[in-house]
Amino acid sequence: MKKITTILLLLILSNTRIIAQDSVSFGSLNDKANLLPDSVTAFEKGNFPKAEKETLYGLSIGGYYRFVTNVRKLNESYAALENNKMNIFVGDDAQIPQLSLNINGNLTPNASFGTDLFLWSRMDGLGQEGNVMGLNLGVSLYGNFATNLGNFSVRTGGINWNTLSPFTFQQNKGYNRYSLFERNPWDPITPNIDGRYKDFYYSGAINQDTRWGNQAFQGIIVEGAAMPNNFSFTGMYGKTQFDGGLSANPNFSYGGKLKKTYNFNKNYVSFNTFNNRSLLDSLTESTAGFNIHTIELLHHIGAYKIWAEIGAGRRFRNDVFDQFGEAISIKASTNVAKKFPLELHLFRISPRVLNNNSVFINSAIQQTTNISDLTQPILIPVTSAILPVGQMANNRQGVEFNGQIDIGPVKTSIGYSNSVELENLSSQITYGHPFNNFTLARFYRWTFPSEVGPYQNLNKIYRAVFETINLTELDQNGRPLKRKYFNAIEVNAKYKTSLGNKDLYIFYLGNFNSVQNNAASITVLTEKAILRTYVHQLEIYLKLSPRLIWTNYGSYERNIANYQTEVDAITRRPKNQTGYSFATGFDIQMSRKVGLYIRQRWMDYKDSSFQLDRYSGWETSIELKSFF
Amino acid sequence: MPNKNYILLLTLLLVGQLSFAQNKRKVSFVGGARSVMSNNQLGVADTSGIADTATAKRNSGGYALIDLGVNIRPNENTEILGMFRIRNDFGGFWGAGVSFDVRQLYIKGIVANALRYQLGDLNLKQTPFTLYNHHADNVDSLPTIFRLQRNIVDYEKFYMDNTWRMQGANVDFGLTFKDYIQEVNFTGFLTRLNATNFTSVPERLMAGGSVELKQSQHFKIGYNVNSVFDVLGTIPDSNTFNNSVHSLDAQFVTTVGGQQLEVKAELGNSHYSYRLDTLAPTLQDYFAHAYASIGLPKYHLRARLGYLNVGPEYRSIGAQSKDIDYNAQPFYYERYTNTQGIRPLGLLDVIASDQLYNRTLSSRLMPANNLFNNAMPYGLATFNRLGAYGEVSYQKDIQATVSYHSLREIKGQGTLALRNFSILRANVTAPLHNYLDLKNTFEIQLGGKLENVNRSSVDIVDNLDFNNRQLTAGVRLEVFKDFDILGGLVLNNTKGNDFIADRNTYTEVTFFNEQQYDIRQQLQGAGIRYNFSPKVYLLGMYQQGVFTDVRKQQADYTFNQFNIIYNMLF
Repeated sequence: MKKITTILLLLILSNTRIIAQDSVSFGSLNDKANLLPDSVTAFEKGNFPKAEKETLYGLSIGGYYRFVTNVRKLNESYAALENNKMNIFVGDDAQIPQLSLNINGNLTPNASFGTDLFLWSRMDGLGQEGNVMGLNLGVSLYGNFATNLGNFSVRTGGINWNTLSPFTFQQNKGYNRYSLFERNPWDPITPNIDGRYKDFYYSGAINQDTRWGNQAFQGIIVEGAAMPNNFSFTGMYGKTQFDGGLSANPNFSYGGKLKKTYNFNKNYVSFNTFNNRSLLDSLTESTAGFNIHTIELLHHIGAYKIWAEIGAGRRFRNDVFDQFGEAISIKASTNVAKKFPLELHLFRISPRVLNNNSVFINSAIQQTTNISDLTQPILIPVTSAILPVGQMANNRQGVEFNGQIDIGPVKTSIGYSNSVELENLSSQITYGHPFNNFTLARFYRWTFPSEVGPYQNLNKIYRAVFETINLTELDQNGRPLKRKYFNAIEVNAKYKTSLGNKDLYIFYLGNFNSVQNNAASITVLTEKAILRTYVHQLEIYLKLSPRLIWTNYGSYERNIANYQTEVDAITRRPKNQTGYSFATGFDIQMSRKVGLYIRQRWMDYKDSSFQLDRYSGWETSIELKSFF
Repeated sequence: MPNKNYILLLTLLLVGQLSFAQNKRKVSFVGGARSVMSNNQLGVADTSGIADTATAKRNSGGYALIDLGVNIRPNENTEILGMFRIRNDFGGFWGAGVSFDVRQLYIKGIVANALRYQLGDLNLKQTPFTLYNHHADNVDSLPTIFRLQRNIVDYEKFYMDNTWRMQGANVDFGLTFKDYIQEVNFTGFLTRLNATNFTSVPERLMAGGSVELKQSQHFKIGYNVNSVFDVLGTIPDSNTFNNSVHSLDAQFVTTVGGQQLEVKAELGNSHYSYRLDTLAPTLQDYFAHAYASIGLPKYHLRARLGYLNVGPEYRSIGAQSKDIDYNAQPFYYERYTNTQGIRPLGLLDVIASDQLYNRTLSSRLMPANNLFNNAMPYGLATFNRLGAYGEVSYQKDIQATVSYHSLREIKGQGTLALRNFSILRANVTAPLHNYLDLKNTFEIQLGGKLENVNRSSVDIVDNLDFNNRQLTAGVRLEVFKDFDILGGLVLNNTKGNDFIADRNTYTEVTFFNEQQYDIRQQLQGAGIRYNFSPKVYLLGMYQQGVFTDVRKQQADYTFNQFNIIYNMLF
């Protein structure tokens, strides 16, 4: 009581003023003297900090919302789906989220960070419990700086998208012969409702996002540009998606590129390298990995463009190195009479060359079982595969022609491939089912299982399913007696016209492939082929209004194997598969940057030899997408 | 809970984004971002002579994270901060290894332009004997290359200005006077040390405050109180704990003949008891600390002479909690050798492993580790110490400090004989570029610490002689603008014997274990750093920590680590 009285007295007598010790901005209170304070130190007790924090230079948020749902009804199904013939699934089964926020912060003009938050609601009635959240691409930090030696940038964390060269670190871009009917998660919303189809008709491609052709990488990427004598470089050290994930084992990949441009940056030559070293056991004593080094060249001679990548690769295990094998890819292109673009491609990739981050797929080493259903396998589970034109594989050499012929309003892209295995290593052939690829992949939602299907011969990878067929004519080591020859022809014809004064787009895509034990100039259409696959896909898009497109699709697939392959135990006949798929739908532009996409598909597939391999039914897909 | 975090984060981000666009002063963003990538290798020389085949010798790790704090100012007198951590472990693709946390949350402001308050996360400090984070085991003059890693530990654990991170409420205000007294400042806080589990752990709070009367620019005097107490009735057991500390501190500053003179003193006592526990002692004791400093600006010199007396029963949870927990496990190589015994912590762990450090106070007396600090493991607040110290420092372009502590025990530990402690420290930072006429920075750091603990007794068994010698050396060479080459070396040799006290939950000694030491530690590192700005850098570094037990009581090891660190603060 006495104390209170004293304080009150002091207040009154000395005209006291009550103050906050500092403002809310918490300006500096503690200016330390160099040697000693020349007055008593400021109040240094209580809550800290006393100084205001600096704030972020800038923050931006973008992203997209994409609602996808599928309803699938199977009249006839695989045994595994027998109890769930009617299936409702909300969300993208390829693990693409509904809401994605791209957050970028700039600390200074030359340092920034970025991340992407996603939200996914399964709408399963559980409410908050059933929701999924996370990061898709993770956290990345960026920086750049300019010096007299050049401009340098650094990216750390990840996932960061990067590319070196096709043989070292890149994804195959192909030749833009594909179906547009089934939409990809990354497909953009074009300002005009028919922009996607118009672009495909006129330019032969659609706009792709930054991931197109790039590989995912975590770690550090350093790039230098505008260096003396037109040099530039890229260096990278970290993990790819095949490097063991979160395992503490130090599995790393590293690589780089040193590039020199010349002739006013029109041409270039570069040295590229990519390497992996993985530790296989918990004691980190058993190692495995690969190295690949290449020279890449782009050179123009008059109207001709020559591009080549030539290099060598090898594998190792426990520091025992295989011999280097060659990897060669040479392309020569020109525009014949300035009307017919034509490209010749020669390639040869030794079975000793392995790189699961390059444009070629592995068909020399068989890995049938992946570690987890939730992650992609380290090696894509294909064997001697039937591949689209432009898709290379190791243990193979071949020649390809790609060209475009425009006759009036009909633009036709043609691809031809003729290749052969270098060694008869694999007793299996892998092929896909383009007529119903995405729907079939959705039979195995969310996960990436191997050896599924009624005969355990289906392998799912990202948004695709491959089927494996076994050869029967083998030596005592289980190897096929002869090498396999592969032929492929692709035709993608595009036609634009008007119907009732409405824009009409008609696209046809045909794939004709065969595998046999002898060389052939074109696809073998007879029983001599171990396996023949024919696929026809026809798409019709009618622009009913500036906000509405009617979309239609029809496809037919035949896969026929001969008696050099495994036959059914009952019918004693080899694979003989037929598939149909018909679909219709609408693209609706609901407002600027908001699109609604409806698809209704009917499908029927059966193998007349393998009785269990058949399904039929329908599938409805609805996608609502908005970018912001 | 993560879902809630996420929704909060989303809301804050979107609100922040909108408000950011509308009114830049209302919402701003603070925080940091960092990516770390480590590749580690352990070499083990097992004492058995048989090669260690049980330990995974190589591993890797790392992460990338963003701490995004949304700073909202609804009005000029109120500020709300919500900070989220988004973390992605290295190697986690497509959403694997992702975690979300709320890192900070508080509101603060001013009421009626008079009373400042903060509610939520607080960083509190009083005096070195009441509430203070001493960081007693920090390596003196830590070379920059290691300091950068230590800064990450400090950031992770909210270490700043010797404060402790706590949760609760704080208020402060001041009174200004026209005559006789310039101002009186008040600060008070109430924080929660731990919540009850409703059965055996009671609600434990810390309440404290300070009143400081500033008479003039030359003199101030203050009163501090800090009390840790259990709240009665929060569990069935009524045996509540209390540890209260009171102190008076004063500072006098003046100029005598052009020389600056400062005298500072603090005197206080503590009370440590349990309400009903008949086995529990009631510990009461006092402390006194005073020093006088004189500054000679002409010669850039400062000298300080101090006196320290901390009673053997002086207990202060706020001041005697250690930042490092030697019982915690390091992230890398927790166990080693064929028997998979616990690996002794080395310099590399202590400097760079944030897993070893506490975010907040410990209610129990935390163990010390003689390898890193024997004489004053709880800083100035180390109990049972009496003595004096002196310090001379030179601060111009070269910055150098030499100090010497001479202390002894007040009460013998297990014997009537007393331990004597001496600590000699010296460190210097020299900007050689000034002397070599270089355009870019070329700086070296050198430091040394000699610590001796001894006891002589008529009973030979009580005798002890313990020495700890530490040497540090660091170099920073700016090759190009903002591009540094860094190097560092820390040597720490420990030799002799000492008796380590086992203490019960009441902090009483129950037994002494004699320990013989002949340990040699070495940490060396080199790296390159690019500074994007004063708060943003990219560092690539290699470091090697060597732990050698000459007596072969523990297996020797070598810890090699390669790090790539990209660090941003904003």
